[in-house]
Amino acid sequence: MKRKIALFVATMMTFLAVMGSGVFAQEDVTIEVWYAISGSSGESLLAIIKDFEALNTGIKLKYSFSGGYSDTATKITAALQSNTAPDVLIGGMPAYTGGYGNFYAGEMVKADPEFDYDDVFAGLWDYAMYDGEVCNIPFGISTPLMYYNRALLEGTGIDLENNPPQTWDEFVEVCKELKAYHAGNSHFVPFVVKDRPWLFKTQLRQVGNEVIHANEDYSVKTAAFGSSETAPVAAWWQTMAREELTTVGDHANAENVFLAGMAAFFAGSSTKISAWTEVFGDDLLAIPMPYFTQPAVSLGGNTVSIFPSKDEARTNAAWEFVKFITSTQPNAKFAINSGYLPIRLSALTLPEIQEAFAKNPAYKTAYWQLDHAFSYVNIDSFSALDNAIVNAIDKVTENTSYDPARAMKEAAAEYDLEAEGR
Amino acid sequence: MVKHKKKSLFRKYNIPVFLLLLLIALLMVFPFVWMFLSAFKTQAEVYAYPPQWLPNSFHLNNFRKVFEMVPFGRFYYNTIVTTVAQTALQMILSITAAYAFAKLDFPAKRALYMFMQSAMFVPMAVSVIPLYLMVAKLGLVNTYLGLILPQILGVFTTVLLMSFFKSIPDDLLDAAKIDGCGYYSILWQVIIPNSKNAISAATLFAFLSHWKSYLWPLLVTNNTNMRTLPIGMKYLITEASNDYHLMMAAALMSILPVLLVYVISEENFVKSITLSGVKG
Repeated sequence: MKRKIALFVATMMTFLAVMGSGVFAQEDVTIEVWYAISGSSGESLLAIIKDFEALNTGIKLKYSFSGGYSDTATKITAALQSNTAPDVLIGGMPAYTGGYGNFYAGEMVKADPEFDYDDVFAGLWDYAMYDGEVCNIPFGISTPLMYYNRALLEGTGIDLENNPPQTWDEFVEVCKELKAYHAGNSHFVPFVVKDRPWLFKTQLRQVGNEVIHANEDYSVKTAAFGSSETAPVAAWWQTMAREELTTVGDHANAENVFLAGMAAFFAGSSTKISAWTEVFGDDLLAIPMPYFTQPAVSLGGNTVSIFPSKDEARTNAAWEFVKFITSTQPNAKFAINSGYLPIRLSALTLPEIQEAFAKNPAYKTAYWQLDHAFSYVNIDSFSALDNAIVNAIDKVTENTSYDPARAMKEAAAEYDLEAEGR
Repeated sequence: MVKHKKKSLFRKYNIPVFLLLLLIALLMVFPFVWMFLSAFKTQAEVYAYPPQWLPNSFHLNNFRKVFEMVPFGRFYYNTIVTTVAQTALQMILSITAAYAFAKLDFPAKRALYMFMQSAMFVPMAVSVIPLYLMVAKLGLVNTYLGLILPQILGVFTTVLLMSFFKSIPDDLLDAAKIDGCGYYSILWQVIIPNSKNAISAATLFAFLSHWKSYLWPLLVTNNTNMRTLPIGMKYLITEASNDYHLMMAAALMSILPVLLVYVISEENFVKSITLSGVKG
């Protein structure tokens, strides 16, 4: 009997040793990854994808570019309807997962102890929610940043590094000073902005107002900016136009105007820091976003989506991959090289982040703004919202006697009408 | 005498009209010249203000960088393969369909023609998802067949050719029939030789539309090795950067085959426009 037991134990030990040696190790799992990030940002993403491959985790990646955000929307819609969705989409939106009842990533970020949920900037989770529930993971995050070209401030006596304008009223005064100083240059304009709706939504929160109001079960979502409390926002745009401190009508060209050195301030995505530093050198700086009554910046960028498949091994592999790219080190590496902001609080302690702060002070400004970052409720038509806001801005800037409160009320009604028709 | 000579020269060459046309021509050529020059500039030179027309040096760094960032050679190959195949298949279908509608009698011809023509008014964005579902069910995602087949039905080229084929006298066809020609012989020996200009123009239209096709190749491929040039161009665009110098270098490389095709078929193309009044 003892011999039998000894034989059994020896057999089991041999079996376990063979299993442990990897002779019968599980086969590699291949997952499909789409990404909607291109150019130099796409290259930064591929760098961390290659880092993951180098770990030899047994997870093989088939990755491909899915086009810009709007192209990806079409591509993923078609793929979801034909059951050909990838395992992971980097650059996705909550609508592609939560909108289809897929909250897998949201469940995993809380269930997996290896994923440090609290290490992600709190406001960023709002950006990854669909109807109040987390369904994605924040990844390539950006905020609107108030850039300035230091070269255009030389000789003006304005010291933005030590004494930046804190409120929008102070900002107007700085713009007036700049305009007076550059009066001899007919091409000069103090402030330009391309994405007006993004800045406008930031400003709505700065007056203590929501952008969208949703009822308890998120079945009704209406514009929350129709009240007279939002009038100061439209009034500010009107002042900027009346005093000729910004362009009216032509905003598509704003980036080129700033890059050509014809504008002192530019409000736009923080993702431009890395690329524009190559153009401006040390002259590219940023001030904290001015505000009305409270600091706030509206979040932009993208998230990571996971589409669980019937094959559990693939789904698990997808989660392991997503966990890697959203962890502190890889995410920070992607952020520094692409211009997006790191999603993790712990990234602040990394030497490479400190180095990036020292190299690009604008980056530091963008990062600290995350403390005031917010995201509004997901809606079906962002374009309808943006159109309503643009129309309100056009009304008050093209006709400087137009009542700002009326413009806001009409914009809210315009959005509600559009949303109701959907 | 001198005054008289000047006046006649003025009338002979219609100077005001000539100047107006020259101005319009310059406006049309300007973007191409700008693209060509920007392809050799640095990013700072592209954004220089006042504008800097000529690059400081005509270096090839931008072209090199494009090849480093994306597999441009592979994209070129895929675009040539798919465009040539699509254009050839589309022309075969368009010529035969146009011949049938223009010269043959068959039941429900008018209804079929209306049905076919109505497809011209359905935007690609509407049909693209149902089309993708069909292609996915057939297992053609990520294949050349999936890229090529759904794009070969060209209503515009069919209608264009039909209008030409109609202008060929029926007497010619009758004479060919008396000589013993069947339907395909008539098409091959009478219709096509008499419509070379129109076919050339339709081929150019088809070629151009396939060469720049973006949405469908993006939807139906999930593999970088299957991607085409228009998608390759998109790889270079970032939310963060304005690398126009790289985009211009890529654009310059991607339009070269189109220019080549146009130069080859220019004479027939111009003739067909003169005959039909069709403009691209």
